[in-house]
Amino acid sequence: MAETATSLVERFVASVEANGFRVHRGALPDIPGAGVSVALYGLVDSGSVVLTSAPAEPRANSLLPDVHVTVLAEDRILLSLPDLFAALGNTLPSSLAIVSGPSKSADIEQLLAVGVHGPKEEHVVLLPPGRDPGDVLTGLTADDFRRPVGAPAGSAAPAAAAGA
Amino acid sequence: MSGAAKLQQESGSFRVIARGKLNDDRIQGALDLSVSRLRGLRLDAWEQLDDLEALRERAHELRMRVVNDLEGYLAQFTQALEARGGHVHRAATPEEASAIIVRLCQERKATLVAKSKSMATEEIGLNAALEAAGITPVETDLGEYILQLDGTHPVHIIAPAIEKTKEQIAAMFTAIEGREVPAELEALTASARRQLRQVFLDADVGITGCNMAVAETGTITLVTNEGNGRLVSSLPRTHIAVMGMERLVPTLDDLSVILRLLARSATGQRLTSSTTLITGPRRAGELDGPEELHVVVIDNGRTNLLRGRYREMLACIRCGACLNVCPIFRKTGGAAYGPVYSGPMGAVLVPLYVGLGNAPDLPHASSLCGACTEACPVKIPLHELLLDLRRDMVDEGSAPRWERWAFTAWSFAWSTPLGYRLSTRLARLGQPLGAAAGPGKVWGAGRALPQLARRRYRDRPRG
Repeated sequence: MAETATSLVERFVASVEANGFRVHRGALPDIPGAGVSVALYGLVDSGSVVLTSAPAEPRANSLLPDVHVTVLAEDRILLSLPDLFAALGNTLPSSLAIVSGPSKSADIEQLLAVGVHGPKEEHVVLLPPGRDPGDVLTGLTADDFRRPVGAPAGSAAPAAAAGA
Repeated sequence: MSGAAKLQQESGSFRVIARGKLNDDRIQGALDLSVSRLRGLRLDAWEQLDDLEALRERAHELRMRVVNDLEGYLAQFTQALEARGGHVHRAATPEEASAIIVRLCQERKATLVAKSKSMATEEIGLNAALEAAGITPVETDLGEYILQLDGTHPVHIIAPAIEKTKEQIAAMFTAIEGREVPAELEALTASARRQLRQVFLDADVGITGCNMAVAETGTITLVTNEGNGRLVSSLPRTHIAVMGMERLVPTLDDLSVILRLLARSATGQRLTSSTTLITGPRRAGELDGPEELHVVVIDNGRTNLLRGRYREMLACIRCGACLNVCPIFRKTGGAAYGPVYSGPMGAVLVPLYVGLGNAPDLPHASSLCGACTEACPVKIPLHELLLDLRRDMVDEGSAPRWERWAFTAWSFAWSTPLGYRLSTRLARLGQPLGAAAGPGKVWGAGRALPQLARRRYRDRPRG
């Protein structure tokens, strides 16, 4: 592969941050009341996470809470929409949501308002290859939730510019 | 009310409404700001696409492929969606479409309906039909919600409520919540969130439009920034999507072409915050999502467009890019065009839906500068279609009588040297008279008219 996996991940991070996502590495941020989902794919070109409906993935988790955290395996990052549709074949879930940032509106005097309907904050937790998203969701201790893996204890999660 | 009547303006009202808007400095400021902002965002986003022209060509080609075999693709879509447990209904007129939706709501004993923004439901006058049946529809797109409270129509298909100030919105929200809502963005957003969240949770039926459907997979797509499309289509037990019969692409890969162009052309985004692909109702084992999915496919004049060259208009993806570059739209705003579609796309579409005689001003709401055609991501030759519509008006005799007389007299006069000489002499006399009354006065208002020379060139001494 001409493009190394690392640079694809870094481009993904820059791209989703530009859309207002906050990115974490390896562990869930500790946010009470956050809805948690496992993303099917990530898209570099549009800075999106792709969510699917499934018995273990209720739609409400990514719709109703004020904060939505989605867990994405780094090896599921794709470049673009055509790649996504090629990867899916024609097997589509009942609902496939391509989320590219928190709910936004410019309907009041054309000023950017974040969070008029869905989550006000969108977070992505990136998992390095070889780690199953299920591990993150079930096998973690409270401490794991409080600091990004690979970062020294007490360091803050990388903050993203809010809004695009 | 007939189907046509919902789309059309009252005859001659374009000029009246437009003049009102032209004289309102605040509206002019808001329009200028939004139109320039959206136009700039699109141009920046287009610049970042290295395959822009190829993408536009492909979008045009694939949309025309659908238009040229519309029934074939609709049959494929219907079969695929029904295989996934969805239901497809066809409606020829707005009345039929509204009746189907009212019946579906009544059968489910629905009293509250949550809606996400949809031009198609505006087109069929759905809210009035639901209200007449005792069902309350609530618009959940923030701009549309504000307009619904206000009882007015969208001025821009992408930015519907740009004419409303924070103070006006705060007054409406204060009345609804029964407590003071300050005229500040954050407070207004929080208030709208509270009001509408309850609607999402309580609604029996969710009604959306459909930005684009995929024939091969039976998928409908909702594109929103607020995420309300996803809420409306996920929480209520029944989801009804209203779709113009031409909103189809053949395959998922084709959908990626349209999606890459749609948000970039509308708001300059790579994709909107929320793009949802729905393929049938909830499946076995899923904990939420609608139990039923109904797609109502509306014709409402679209088959009229399949005749002749106007069929290219059916390729439109409703991005609004043509509005933001149109020198007429940026002065008049959307209301002058009638209640639903506006700008160059509306000026072509509305006369074709309702008949030229019912929208005689619209083909003239253009300077023919061609900016719309340049801005169209699916390469519809909008300004050429407007010119063709003007030609049709003359051919079918719906052009004003004075215009026909004037052109007959002109062509008669200038077909002989004597007539030409006489007419140029008369012009000196006629100019002040012509500018004082009649069409000359209308045309001359707001323009600096050229002054004819005191002595004609041919009469000047030579040498």
